[in-house]
Amino acid sequence: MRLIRRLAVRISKKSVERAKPGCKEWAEGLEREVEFIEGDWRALGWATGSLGVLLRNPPKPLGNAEEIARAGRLFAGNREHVPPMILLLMTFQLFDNVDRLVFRWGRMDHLQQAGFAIAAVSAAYLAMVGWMEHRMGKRPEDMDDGAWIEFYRREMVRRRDLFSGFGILFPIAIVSMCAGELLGVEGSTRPYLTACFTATCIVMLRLCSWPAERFQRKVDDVDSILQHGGRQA
Amino acid sequence: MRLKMRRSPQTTLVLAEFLQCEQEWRYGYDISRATGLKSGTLYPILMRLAEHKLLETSWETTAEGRPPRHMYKLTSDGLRYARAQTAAERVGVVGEPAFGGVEL
Repeated sequence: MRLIRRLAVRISKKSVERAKPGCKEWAEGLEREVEFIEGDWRALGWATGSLGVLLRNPPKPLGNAEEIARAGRLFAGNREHVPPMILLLMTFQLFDNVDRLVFRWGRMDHLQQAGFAIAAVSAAYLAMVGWMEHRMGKRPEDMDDGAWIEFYRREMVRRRDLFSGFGILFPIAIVSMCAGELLGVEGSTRPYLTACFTATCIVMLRLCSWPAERFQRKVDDVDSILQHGGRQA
Repeated sequence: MRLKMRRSPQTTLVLAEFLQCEQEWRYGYDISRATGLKSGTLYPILMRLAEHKLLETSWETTAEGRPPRHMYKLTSDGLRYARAQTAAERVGVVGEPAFGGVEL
């Protein structure tokens, strides 16, 4: 098999592995077609296109117990292999703001001082929530679907509780950190800009669902499937 | 039930292709070749059609021990919708509204 064809097969197999539970059937369908494509370059184009499909399409709600178990395995895999991005970014942001406050305090006006202080406090809070969100309970050792379903539900409940407890201000902290940074920028229009930005964000926050609601929906999905069997695979 | 289904020239192209042989199961690559659409364009359309219950999917076990292929066919609602869409295109109304509705 030529290198290009091998690459195409590898990409499509990866897309099946990484496919979210609701997209798995489609990913497998795309993968199987690669074998029937005559040209190697055409096969590669098909495979890369399939990656785009999986990235663009949001997953359907979980449909059966097998999909929940798969979601649990994916979740654990992501936690183990992806660094805690929120924690890292917010720690960097915190150090940056503290550095400004400590070493440039005398050269800033009161608005800038207030802005960077707000941004620093928000970043510290976001870093803590990010750290707590990234933590994961003990993953099941065996291949048993039941253990993975229990694991997935437990992790979703933990996140729901985090975002309805200590992390409830998570979306507001993101807005306040950005508003603080805006306030710290030099220029006479910054209070107005900050006010406009904050007002827009508050309106948008009301339109979006909060993290706790999203995790609650996942818990409800799992419970409903476990009780009623869900839709057929 | 009234569902929103995006009406685009590409969707109409795919629907017209299905109407060529209404009762036959079609493979993704064959539709791609016939319509000239790449997988990144074709599959979101197929996924959307299936989501709206306009398209049914199935796995075909091929001979020679090859792995099964995913096949697609319009449902009866899908056929009705496809005929309406292609007819609308012929009279030149496709592309006017960004979103159309399908009565199911």
